[in-house]
Amino acid sequence: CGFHLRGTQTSAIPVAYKNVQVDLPQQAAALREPLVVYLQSLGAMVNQDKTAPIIKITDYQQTRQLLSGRLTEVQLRLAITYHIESSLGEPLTIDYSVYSRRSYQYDIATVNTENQEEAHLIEEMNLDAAMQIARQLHAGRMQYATADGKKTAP
Amino acid sequence: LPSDSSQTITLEADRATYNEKTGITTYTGNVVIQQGTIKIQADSLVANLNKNRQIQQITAKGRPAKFQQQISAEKGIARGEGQTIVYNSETGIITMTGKAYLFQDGASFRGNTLRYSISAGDIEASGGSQGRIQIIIPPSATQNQTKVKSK
Amino acid sequence: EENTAEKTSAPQNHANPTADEKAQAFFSQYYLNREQMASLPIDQQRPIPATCHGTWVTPIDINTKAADPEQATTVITADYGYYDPTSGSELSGNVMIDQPGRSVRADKINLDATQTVATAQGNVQLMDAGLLSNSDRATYNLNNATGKISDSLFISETQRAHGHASLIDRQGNGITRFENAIYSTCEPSTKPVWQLRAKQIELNENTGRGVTRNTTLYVKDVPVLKVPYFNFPIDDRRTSGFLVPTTGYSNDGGLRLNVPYYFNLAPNYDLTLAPGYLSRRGLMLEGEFRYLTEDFGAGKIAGGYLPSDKLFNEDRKAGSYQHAWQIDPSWRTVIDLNYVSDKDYYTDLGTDPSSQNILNQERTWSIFYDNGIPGLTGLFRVQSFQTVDKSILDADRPYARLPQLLVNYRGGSPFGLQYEAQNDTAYFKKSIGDGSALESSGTRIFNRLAAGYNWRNQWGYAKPEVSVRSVNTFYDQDSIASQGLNPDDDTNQRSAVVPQFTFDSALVFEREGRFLQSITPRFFYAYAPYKQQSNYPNFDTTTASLNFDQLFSPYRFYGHDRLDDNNFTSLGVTYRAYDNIGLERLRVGLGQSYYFHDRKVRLNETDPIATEHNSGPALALGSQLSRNFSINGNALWLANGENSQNDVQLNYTGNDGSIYNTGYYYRRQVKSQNQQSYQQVTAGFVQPLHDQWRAMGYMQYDINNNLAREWLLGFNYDACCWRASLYGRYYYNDLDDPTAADVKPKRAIMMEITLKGLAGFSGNLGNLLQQKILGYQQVETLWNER
Repeated sequence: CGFHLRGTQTSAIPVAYKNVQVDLPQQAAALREPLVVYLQSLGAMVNQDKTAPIIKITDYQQTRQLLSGRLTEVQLRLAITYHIESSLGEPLTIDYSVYSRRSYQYDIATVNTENQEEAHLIEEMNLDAAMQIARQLHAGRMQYATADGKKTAP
Repeated sequence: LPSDSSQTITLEADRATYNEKTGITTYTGNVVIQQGTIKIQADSLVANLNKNRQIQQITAKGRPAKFQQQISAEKGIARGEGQTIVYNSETGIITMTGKAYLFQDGASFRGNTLRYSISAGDIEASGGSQGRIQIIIPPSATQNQTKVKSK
Repeated sequence: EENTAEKTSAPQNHANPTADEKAQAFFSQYYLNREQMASLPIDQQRPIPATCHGTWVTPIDINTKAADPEQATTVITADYGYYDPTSGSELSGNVMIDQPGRSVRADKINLDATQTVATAQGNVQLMDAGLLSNSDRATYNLNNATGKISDSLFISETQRAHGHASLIDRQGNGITRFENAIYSTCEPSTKPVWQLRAKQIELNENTGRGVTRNTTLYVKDVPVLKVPYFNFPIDDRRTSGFLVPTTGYSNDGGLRLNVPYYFNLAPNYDLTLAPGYLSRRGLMLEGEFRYLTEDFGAGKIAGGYLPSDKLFNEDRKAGSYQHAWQIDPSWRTVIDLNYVSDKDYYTDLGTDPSSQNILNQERTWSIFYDNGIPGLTGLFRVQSFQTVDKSILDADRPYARLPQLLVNYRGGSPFGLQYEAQNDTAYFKKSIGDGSALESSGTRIFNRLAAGYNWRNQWGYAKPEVSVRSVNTFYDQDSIASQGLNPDDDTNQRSAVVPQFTFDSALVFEREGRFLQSITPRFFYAYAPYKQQSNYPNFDTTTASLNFDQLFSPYRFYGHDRLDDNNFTSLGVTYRAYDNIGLERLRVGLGQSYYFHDRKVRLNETDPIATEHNSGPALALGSQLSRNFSINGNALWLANGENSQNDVQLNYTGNDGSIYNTGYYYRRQVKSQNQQSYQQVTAGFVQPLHDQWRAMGYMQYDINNNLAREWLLGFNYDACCWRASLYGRYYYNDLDDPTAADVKPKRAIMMEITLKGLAGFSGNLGNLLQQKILGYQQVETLWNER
C-alpha cells in the first residue's frame, strides 16, 4: 500500500540538516532534551558543528485556561514558533508554529496540592512539540524564506 | 615661548631679491625663517622692514605655508597652516588665510581665516563668505585643561 | 494659571505667528506621516502605530548609545569663532556642538574657560537619544551631559510625548525635571485629545517612573481632573495590575474607585498604597512594600483591609509575604505566606478580575537544590494551608507537611541506559476538629528506583523499564489514639513494596505523495503485582484524568500514597498527514487498553474495583485545516460502549485580528476512576468593528445545571493616545456552587480608560480575556503592531 518504514527508502533527515544546532530561549529549557533526542534518532548530528544551520526557537508560550467552577477542566496549550537560520543568523526558512494541547479534570478541593498531573502533561506537551519539530524537519518540505526575508507564520 | 621675540631671526631661502624702491626683500624657494621656537616654512616670503631696518611684518605664501611655535613648557607646540601666513612681529599676531588650520593645546581649528596671537594665545576664526569654521576638542584636552586649572 | 500655559493655549490670530503656531510648526517638522516616513532611508524609519497618522522622528535615533561625555570628542562648527584658552570662547552663526549621540544647535554659544559649560542663545535645539528640545536659552555641560533649557518645546520619542515647559532640567543621572509643563502623548495639534499641565513633572529612567505635582488633566482644553500628586510608569517595567487606578460598578460592591500612590522610598525599596472606595461596602486600603537586600534576596509584603464591610458586616482582610533568595547557584530558599479573611475576598474587592479565589492559601518555607551535582535535585519544605471555605469538612482539607524532603536523582543517557532514584519523606499532619473523620496523620516514606533502556532509531523505538516502589506509613500518637489502635501493635506500621515492569515501543511507517502520511502503531505493556493497601491513609494522592495519553501510562494515581497494581496492554495507532510546506494538517490517534487483571488498588475504600477487561476506545483528534482554522477533540468510551468523556474545540483566527472559539466539554461520572461528571459549553470571540472599535466576549454555559456559569461582553476603542473599554460581566465565585440557594451571581460593569504612555484607569480586561479566550495574546500583539 505504499507505506514503508521511515528512513528505509530515503534518509530520514534531509542532507541539508545532517548537522544542526539548537538555540532555545531560557523559558524553553524543557524542550531541549526531547528535541535533541528526536533529531538524533532521525540521524542528525546536533550541536557538534558551529557552522551548521540553527533551529532557532523564537517564541515559546505556555498558556493555562480554566473553566470556571470548583470542578473544572484545565486546558493547557504550548505554542512554539521557530525557523531555521544559517550559523550567521540569516533566516533560511519561514516561521513555523507547532501547537500541543492537553486537558485534565481538576477538583480544586483535592488533597493533591502539588498538581503533579499538570507537571506530567506539560512534559508530554514538550515531547509532542519536539516530535512535531523533528518531523517537520524530516519531511524536508520546509518553505524557504522569500528573497526579502518576509516571514509569515503559517 | 615668551622669550622668542627677543631671539635673533635667521632666514634661509634659495633666492632673495631686494627692491630698492619699495625697500622690500622677497625670498623664494623653500624658505625657512626662525626666531627662537617660531619657525615658518613657505614657498615665497616677503619681509617688510621698519624705519630702523628691523623686520616688521612677514607675508609667507605656500601650498600651504607652515608655521609652528612652542607655546610654553607644558603646553607643547602649536602648528598652523594656510595658503598665506602674515606674521606681525610687533603685535605678535599671526593671520593665516586660505584653508587655514591651527593645532594648539590639543584642540584643532579650521576655517577660512584664523588670527592667532602668540602672546595671549587667543584665536579668532571666521568662515569667510559662507564658509564654516570647525573646532575639534578631544576629551583629553578638556581633561588636562581642568587638571592644569586644579594644580 | 501658569502664564506660559495661558500664552500657548489661547488662540490669537494677529499678524505675527503666535507661540502656538510656532510650536505646531516645530512639532510638525518631526511628526512624520506615512508617506513622509516612507521617503526616509530604511534604517531611519520608525514603525507607525496603527491607530495614529504618524509618529515622532527625532534627529538622534532612540537606541544610539550616547558616549560617556568624559570620553567623547566634541566637534564644533560655526560661521565665526573666538577661542581664548583662559577666558573661554564665543561662537556665532548657526553653531553646532556635536558629541556621539548628543548635540546642541544655536545661533550663538559661549563656552567657559574649561570649554565644558556651553551657554546657548537663539533658537536653541538640544538633542540626545530620543529627546529634542527647542528653546531660546539653554546652558549645557559637555562633561556630564546635564543641561537647563528654559521656555522650551520638547519631544520625547521614548515616551511618544511632546509639550512645553518653562524649564527642562536634565540632571544627567537619568532624571529629567520639567517645570510648568504641558505634557501629552497625543498627535500634535492645537487641541490635543488630552494633555497634562503640571507645576512639575519628573521622569526617572532608573526607576521607570514619572511623578507629577499639582497636575490638571485637560481633555480637549477642558480641565477634567486636578491631582496634587500623580505617579505613572514611563516604561513597561511595571504598568499592569496594582499600580494603575481601577474603576467600575458591580451589583454587590456598587461604584468603586481605587487610586494607587507609588512612593519610591529608596533605590532598593518602594511602597505602594492604594486607597479605594466601594459604595456598598465602604473604604478600603491596599498596600505593597517591596524590598531588595544586598545579598539576602528580595521580597514583598502586601495586604488589604476593609473595616466592617457594610454588606458582609465583618472586617475583610488579606495579607501575603513572599521572599526569594538565591543563596548560590545551587541553593535557593523561598518563603510564601498567604492569608485571606474569607473565600469571597478577591471576587468582592480584588482589582484584578482574573485573580481567582484560591481555596487553600499556602504558607510555605522551602529550600531548593539543583544545577549542582548533575541530575540531582532536592526540596526541603515546611508547608501548611488555610482553607478559606469554612464549609469544607476538616477531613477534606489538605495535610500540612511538617516537614517534607523530596530528593530526585536521574542519570544515564537518553540514548541508552537511564536510571532514576526518588525519595519523598514527610510528616503529614491534619487535626480533625469537627469529627468528620478519625485522626489519620503520620509519617510516610516513599521510595522509587527505576532503570530503563532507550533503544531508538529513525523508524521506531523500544523502552523496557524495571522499577520498584515502596511506601511506609506510620501513624502518630494522636491518630493511633483516635483510631483506638494498640500502640505497640506493629500493624500500625504499613509498608508495601511493589516492583513494576513496563515496555513501551512504536514503529513509524510513511508514504510520500502530495501529502506525507505517517502511521505510528504503538504497543505498551505494564505489569505490577497487587499488594494489599486497603486502609492506607491518603495524604496527597488523586486519580489521573482519563485521556488518550493515560492509556500508555502505568500510573492511575498522582501522589505517593498508592502503589497501583497493573497487568495490561495498550495498543494505539496515530495517523499524521503533512502538507507540501511540512505543516501537520491532520492527526488522529486511536487506542485501547486490555486488562488481564482487575485493578484492585483504589484511592478510597468505597470506590468500586474496576473489573472491565478493556478500557473502551480512546480517540484524540487534532487538525490545522488552514492557516486560520483548527479543530481539536478527544473522546473516550467505556468497555460497555457508553461515552465516558468527549471534548471538541473549534478555533478560528482571522487575518483581520478576529478570533472565534467554541468548545464543548463532557465528562460522565465514572466512580472506578473517580471521574466526576459535568457538561459545559464555552464560546469566545474578538471582532474588530469599523475603524478602531472592537467587540469581544466569551461565555460558559453549564448544561447539566442549565445555567450560564459566566459571560462577558466588552467593547474597546483604541485611539492614538488613549484607549477605552467598557465591559459587562456576569459570574460566580469559583468556589461557590451556583445551584445552591443562597448563591447569587455577580453582575459587574468594569470601565477602563488608558491614557497611552501615562497610565489610566485599568480594569485589567486584558488579563481576564487572556485566560478565557485562546489566542487572545497573539491577536493583541498583532493588533497593536499592525
